[in-house]
Amino acid sequence: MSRAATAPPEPAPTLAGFQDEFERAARAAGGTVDLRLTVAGSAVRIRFAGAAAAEALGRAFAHLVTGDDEPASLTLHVWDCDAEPAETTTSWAGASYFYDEPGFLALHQPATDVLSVLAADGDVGWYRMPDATRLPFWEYTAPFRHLLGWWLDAQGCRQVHGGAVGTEAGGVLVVGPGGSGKSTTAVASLLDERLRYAGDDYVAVGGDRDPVVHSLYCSAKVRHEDMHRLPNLVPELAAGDRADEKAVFYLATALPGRSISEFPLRAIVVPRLTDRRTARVLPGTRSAALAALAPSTIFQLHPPGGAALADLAQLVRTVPSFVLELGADVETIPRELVRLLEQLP
Amino acid sequence: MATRFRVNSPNVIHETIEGEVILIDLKTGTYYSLRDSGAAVWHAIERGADEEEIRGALELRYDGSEQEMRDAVRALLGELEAESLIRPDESTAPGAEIRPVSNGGLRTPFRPPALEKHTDMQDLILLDPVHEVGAQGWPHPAGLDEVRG
Repeated sequence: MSRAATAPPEPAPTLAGFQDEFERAARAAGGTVDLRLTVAGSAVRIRFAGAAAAEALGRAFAHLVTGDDEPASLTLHVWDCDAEPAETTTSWAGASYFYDEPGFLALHQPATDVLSVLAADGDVGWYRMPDATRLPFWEYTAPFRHLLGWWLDAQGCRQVHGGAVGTEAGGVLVVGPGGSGKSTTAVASLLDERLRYAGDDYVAVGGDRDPVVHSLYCSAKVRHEDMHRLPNLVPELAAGDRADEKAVFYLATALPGRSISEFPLRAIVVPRLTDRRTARVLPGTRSAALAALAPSTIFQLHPPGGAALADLAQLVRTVPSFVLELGADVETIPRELVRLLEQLP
Repeated sequence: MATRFRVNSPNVIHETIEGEVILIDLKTGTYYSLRDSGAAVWHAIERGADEEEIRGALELRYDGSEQEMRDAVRALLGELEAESLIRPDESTAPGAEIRPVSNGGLRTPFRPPALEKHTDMQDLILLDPVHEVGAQGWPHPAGLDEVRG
């Protein structure tokens, strides 16, 4: 598509302009708060303008915090622009505008007025929001998802829509569209001390022949109507935040030691809601696993990309796939997953 | 001249795994699957086969009447075109040499192909459509006509 011949009426923002804006916001907020993380094996530094932004958007990364001071592969700058946030009584959903410009990628969602920008080199990003305390809940549970997704691509990793639980010896990727039981499976795994949690919605997968799951967020979400099914977690859930439909909690603080930053991927599991009492694992097909994994992953990429399908198909060919029939007794979910992991070669 | 079809790339992406073809329409959020004879038809389309050549490819793999296979191929091609998964190939260049893939001589009873259609991702697309901004570039979002067009 050709560009219009007329010049835009206003000068386009520049990366230097974003950096200036961040620096000004940091001074106004009393300085920066730095978070140093290890994400998918690489050093990531997040610079927040002020403690409020760090408190609001840093919690999901608490399990990846490192004391290392090594040069960062990615540095993100995060600030409030003190604008009036989008009207919260209307839907937060809405169009996203993706820009692939010389020098940077950008995504703007007018409904939330959140702007994400990643420099073409892939090592510096900016995240501007109207008000750190008034974002939709998914911006807290999965912060900077688009920035991390673009950066992960360059690291040879793929951000996928799925939960993941396991041990240091290996674990499973739990895939399916929203409402398929993915979060329930991941969160129910916390009922068994033998399993650790890498995420319930988005994780990264790297490695070709020997795929590895990398945790991105330690947030966990449970629908209010499902809370009674997780009685052992009720205290943690009760202390969590309230999203519209879900209780949100962060493992690093609610259940210290139960998150895991990475593990070898041993199997893909597709949950299926049933009226059974107990959960059970059945052999699955790779095509069903790809159908459960690919569409929801691809349509949450910005922009949706064709190359992702080939990558995901390759991933599905690499490890076995299973169906996990979910029953009313959620404590049997982790038991079945542990049994599956013990049986895999 | 017999009509050939081509995959409606880049809007349509596809992968075959364990003999099943998974197709995704990136524009609409709809995804599909084709198994068995449907997958065989799809692979013949990919190779540039026309309707008769597709039927010939099926005959190598399946036991069934010529008319039944011809009708099934025509119906599936119509469905795939109606779903904008394929489009007529109007290029005048000769098609690639068609080498039907046999089943090692083991023919199985023919069952008409079925295109399975899944629309559960459309809600995601409607809630959070991603518009790639083109004409004016940064920082101007595309006009509605442009993004819908």
